[in-house]
Amino acid sequence: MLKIQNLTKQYGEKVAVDGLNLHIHPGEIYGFIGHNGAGKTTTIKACCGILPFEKGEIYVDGISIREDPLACKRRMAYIPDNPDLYEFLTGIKYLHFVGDAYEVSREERKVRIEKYAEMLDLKKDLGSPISSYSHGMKQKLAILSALIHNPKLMILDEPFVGLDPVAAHTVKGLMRELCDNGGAIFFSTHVLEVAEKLCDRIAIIRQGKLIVSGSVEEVRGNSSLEEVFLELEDSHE
Amino acid sequence: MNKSLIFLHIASLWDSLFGRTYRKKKKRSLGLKLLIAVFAIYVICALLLSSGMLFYGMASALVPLGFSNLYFLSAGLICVLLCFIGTIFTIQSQLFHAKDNEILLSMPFSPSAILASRMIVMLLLNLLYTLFVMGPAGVVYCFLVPVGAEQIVFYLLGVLLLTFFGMSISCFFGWITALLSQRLHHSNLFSTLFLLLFFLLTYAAIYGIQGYFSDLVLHGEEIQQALQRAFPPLYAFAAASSGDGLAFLQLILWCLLPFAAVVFLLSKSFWKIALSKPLGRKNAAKIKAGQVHSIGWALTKKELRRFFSLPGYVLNDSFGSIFSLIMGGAVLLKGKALLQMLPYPGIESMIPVACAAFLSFCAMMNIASSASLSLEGKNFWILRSLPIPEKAILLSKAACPLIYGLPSILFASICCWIALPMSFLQGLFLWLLPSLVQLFSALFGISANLWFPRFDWISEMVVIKQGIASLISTLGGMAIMVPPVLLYLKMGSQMAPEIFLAICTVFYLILSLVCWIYLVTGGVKKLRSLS
Repeated sequence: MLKIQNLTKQYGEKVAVDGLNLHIHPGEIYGFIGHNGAGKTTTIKACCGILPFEKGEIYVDGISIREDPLACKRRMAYIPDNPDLYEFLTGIKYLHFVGDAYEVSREERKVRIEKYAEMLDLKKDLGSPISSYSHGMKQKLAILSALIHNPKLMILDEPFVGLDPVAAHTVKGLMRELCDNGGAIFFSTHVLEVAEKLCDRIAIIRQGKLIVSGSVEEVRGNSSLEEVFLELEDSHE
Repeated sequence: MNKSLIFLHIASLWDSLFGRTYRKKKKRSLGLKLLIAVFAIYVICALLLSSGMLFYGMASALVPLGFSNLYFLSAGLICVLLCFIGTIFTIQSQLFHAKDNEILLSMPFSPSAILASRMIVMLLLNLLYTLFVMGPAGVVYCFLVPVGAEQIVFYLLGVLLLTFFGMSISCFFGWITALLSQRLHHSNLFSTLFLLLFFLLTYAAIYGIQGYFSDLVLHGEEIQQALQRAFPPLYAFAAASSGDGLAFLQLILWCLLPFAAVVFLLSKSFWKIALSKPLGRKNAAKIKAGQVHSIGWALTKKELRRFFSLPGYVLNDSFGSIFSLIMGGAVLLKGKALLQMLPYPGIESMIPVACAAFLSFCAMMNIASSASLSLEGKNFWILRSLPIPEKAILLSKAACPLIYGLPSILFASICCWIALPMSFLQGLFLWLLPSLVQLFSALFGISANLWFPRFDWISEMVVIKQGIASLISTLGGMAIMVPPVLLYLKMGSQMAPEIFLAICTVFYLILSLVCWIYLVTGGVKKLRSLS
């Protein structure tokens, strides 16, 4: 579903991502772990067609993001680490705007908004301006808007920041549901327990380079993911 | 008060005026720096010169008749009004709606220190506006009348005090609009109408000032007394500028007491207003299937919603439409009277050209597109991550000023066609030319913003009022009007108005096409490179 081949992204002299290779298959929840400034957000933004990159290639459902970014974007949804949304719109107007961008039909839109707004406990707030939302509510709205076109691939940057435990649980359920229906999830997190419990496979990145990747069992062996992560960080210093 | 806070806000102001617009690690070349410096000097000189010309006209009418006080009073009034117009939105947004209020309040700074540091920077900005008005006013007076050192000192100190007075008024109105936005559901609409009314009255007063000169000369004494009663602080300034020591003491009280009162008022409510969220009506879910729109219309609607959600944006970038509507209404109601006021016969043939020139000038002032890309700010990721062609994004931003600009042009041109003597063809060009100028202005605005975007603002007004793209759109648009004006001055008398209007129409059609082609080719690439 998402194939990253030899991705390299530079900011001036600094190499943020260095020859990264990853392959996320349909039905997989793929966790992306790394310290601050490791290159996670840069990789994610490159995958979403937000950041141009110097070398390598990214394929979404077999389509190159470089060659046909719009076709790739139609198949995926992105949720950033900080959900800065249009504060001058109400929640429902924002959802309709996103629905228009993805060309979602009236009926599908209505059904999905109702379903996910109910699940995320956002229904009563959709008529209010986004400027009156809390951080968690904006995060929920961003998640809801990402689901409005039933994406095949979801790319999320720290999706659980700001969510209450109930909402975090719901989001985990939604992520699993999307993968069970043949979709794929690629998300970054600092919460290793979440990655351990939720992911099918994980990758650890350090200073733009992939250190290790594989199934959660393969990566952690008999230790916890936290121990493995700290060990790997130490050994690469 | 913490010095670091003041430096922070001065740096922010400097950055908004002269800083790099899009953070790249490239340094500005020497040539570009020189070009910017020459441009800045040109703008400063042009502003000082136009201000000087206004005051020269006023001083030569009033001072020889002994109405020096009236001259200073009028200058002070213009200065306070211009300070108000120039800084009201900046004050409102920087004091209460700055995006960094929360982070600063979380640091060990007292709210009053944050407020004071912001106010000092705003005071500097006000002082800058004051100097642009009162500097030429003082120089012109010195040129006409010999003045002593004492009078110069009183004048300079008086100007400084006047800055405090102007600041007090701007802060007070900023505080009122901030309170309104906190308490009213349709606060933006209310604030826009409230400020629009005030602005129109102010503009009417300023633009009518030349016409008042004859009245001033004839009834100077009565007007002076009336103004003294209406604006005691300004009268104190005028008297102090003429060397009256007692009036200077009165001026100190008139300027500093209201300022202290405003500071007290603001410091009491700063925390509450700065951290309040806009009043949002809790709407129980009423999820309709909704209307499905095309991508282009969805984007345009979004642009319009943003435009109408910011009173400062509406008032700064739609003056052209407001003046077009006023002109249309005035011509319709007073057309015959206006015709009788024409200075000499035969001038009627100039009417279509004059009307088209005015409406074209108005169209150049509708420049919402010049800030619209920068206003995406932290929301830019939304457009970049959605499957929206870059061309649609750019054209939707250009569509916004067209939607509010074109109807006002149509209205005004129909009014002119009905009320003034002109042929059908002239009427057609009267509508077509300003409409094309509006199209060009919209496309040129977004092109300028593509080259000079600024996403890291802490207040929308920074990009709306002080953005380089807005400045280029306004001044560049006026500079582009120079060739048609020169053509008319050179050959206007030898050609029929229709011919001249047709040439201008073709000129703006070509310019619009050039901008359009740039936007859908180079502009798309440029937008793609911004991330």
